[in-house]
Amino acid sequence: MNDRLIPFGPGAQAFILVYLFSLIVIGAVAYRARRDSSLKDFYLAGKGIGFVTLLLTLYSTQYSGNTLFGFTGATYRIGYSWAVCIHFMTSIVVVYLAFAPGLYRLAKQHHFITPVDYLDYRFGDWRLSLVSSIVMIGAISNYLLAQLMAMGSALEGLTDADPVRAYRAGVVVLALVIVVYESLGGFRAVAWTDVIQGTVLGVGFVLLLCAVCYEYGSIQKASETLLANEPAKFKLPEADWIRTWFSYVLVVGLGGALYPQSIQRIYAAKSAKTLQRSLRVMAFLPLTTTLIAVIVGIYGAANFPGLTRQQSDTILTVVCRQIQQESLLGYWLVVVLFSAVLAAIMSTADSVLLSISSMVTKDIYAKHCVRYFTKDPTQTQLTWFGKAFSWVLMVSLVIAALRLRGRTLVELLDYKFDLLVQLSPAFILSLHWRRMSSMPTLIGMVVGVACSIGLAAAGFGKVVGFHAGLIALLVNGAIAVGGSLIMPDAQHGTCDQRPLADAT
Amino acid sequence: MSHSRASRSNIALRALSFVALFAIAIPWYWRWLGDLAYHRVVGVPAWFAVAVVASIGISINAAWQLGGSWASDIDEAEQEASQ
Repeated sequence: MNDRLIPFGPGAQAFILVYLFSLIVIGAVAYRARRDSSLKDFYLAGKGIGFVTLLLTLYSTQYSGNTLFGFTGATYRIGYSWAVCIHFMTSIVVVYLAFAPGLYRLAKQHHFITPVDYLDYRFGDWRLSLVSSIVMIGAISNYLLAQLMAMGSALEGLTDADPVRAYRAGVVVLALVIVVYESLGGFRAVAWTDVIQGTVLGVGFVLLLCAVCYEYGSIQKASETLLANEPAKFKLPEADWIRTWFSYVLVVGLGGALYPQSIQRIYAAKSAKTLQRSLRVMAFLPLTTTLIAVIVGIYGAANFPGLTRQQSDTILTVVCRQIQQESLLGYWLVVVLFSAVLAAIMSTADSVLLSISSMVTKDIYAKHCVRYFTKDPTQTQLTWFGKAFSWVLMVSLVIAALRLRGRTLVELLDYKFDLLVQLSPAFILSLHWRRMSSMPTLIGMVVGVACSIGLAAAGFGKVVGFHAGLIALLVNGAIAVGGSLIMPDAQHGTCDQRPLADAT
Repeated sequence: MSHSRASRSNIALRALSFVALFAIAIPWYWRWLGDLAYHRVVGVPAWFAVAVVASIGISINAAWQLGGSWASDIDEAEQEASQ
């Protein structure tokens, strides 16, 4: 089975180059649109972004290249039971309901920039803030590395050139494009490029659905083929998978909503109405994204049986190759689809990079390290530090991506949600429960992270179908709640006396 | 009933609506419905179709709850604060 696309011709390559160049141009325009050199302007676009930009940046950040390749591959392997992905992506918006309004109100009142600014305000405990920053940075750093590797793999499958050189070129060139436009325009550039990337991604999914329906006939036909050849992929999931299904809804719902880059987009909304409208549309996007990925995976399983586990992750490429071969229209359709793949990967990578840069600059360097270098750093100096850090981080991760070619980071990626859910008592529960105190929250988080990593390292990534992170969250939550009841903070942090989440 | 108690029961009802919808969406109960699970609905097994329809229900419920009054409340509070 050939799992590589037919190499793109000069026209298609020019199309991709124009797309990449347009991202740099947007970075330059965003640079000219800056209001000042403050951290808030660089990391949150000053007074914030409007409805269309917020919606598309949330969309393209939340849905990565994994949505296209990983979800179609997973559906290929397990069949209709991968409908779990529709539910867990929808559950992210449901979790937003529990904390986004309250968090947004506080963010506007107190000028938050990074996620842990909320924890500083709520608990006033630098240890809790520092540990939270480290957990967030750790959880999303390998996610960024995985996006860089996906960029290399995407280009590798496109040319006749030596695969190793194509991979290297893909990683280096695309990483360079990202870090250039991000350094120029910061959040403004990332959000504006996300508008293009989100649009291409949305169009790509719709075109993908049309193309597979046209190429392979009705879903009824695919279902009958699947039932005849691989009935397990058609049938109800086993009891163990049902438990994992519940677990996925909770782990991805909580973990995905607590992505630091997503929290910063909540802060960046121009108004509450903007945030409200964007989230209302976001609630329906799993139906136009993950549902389509599942349907394409079903078509793939019905029409290309017998792929190995590793090959199954390239089922989308196998499907695309056949569409490419059919006609000129099919060829250009795949060019747009490939652009959508690039858009999905790059938009996730740029958002993660900016988020890590902001947390390292503001939460670690400015609070804990800067005093060793200068007495009173200006906002401009901190912004320049953030830009420089982005370059250093990108160079380090590019070197790692080049060395790790051919390896899979899927297991590491699975663990990022297990880690991020450990932040949910600190971010979500504390908004609603004034009595929650800092020390038990900190101890719960540390124990939760240790439990999660320990279980995974011992080979218990799932315990009777439930994610290790969810089991660890129970321990974490019990310590945070029980400890807060036993030893409440004397001053309840630095909050005012109104209920924190009264806006919800 | 005090305002806060009414508010708490309102939040509980909202949360319960999501619990109910996810309980319908996740196909844990189909094994007791026999072959009904495998009837074709628009070409897909009935259990998958119900999972998708329930997911649409969750999206509609989320969008409806997001349409509550919180946005205007916050904006008014912001305007008052800026004045």
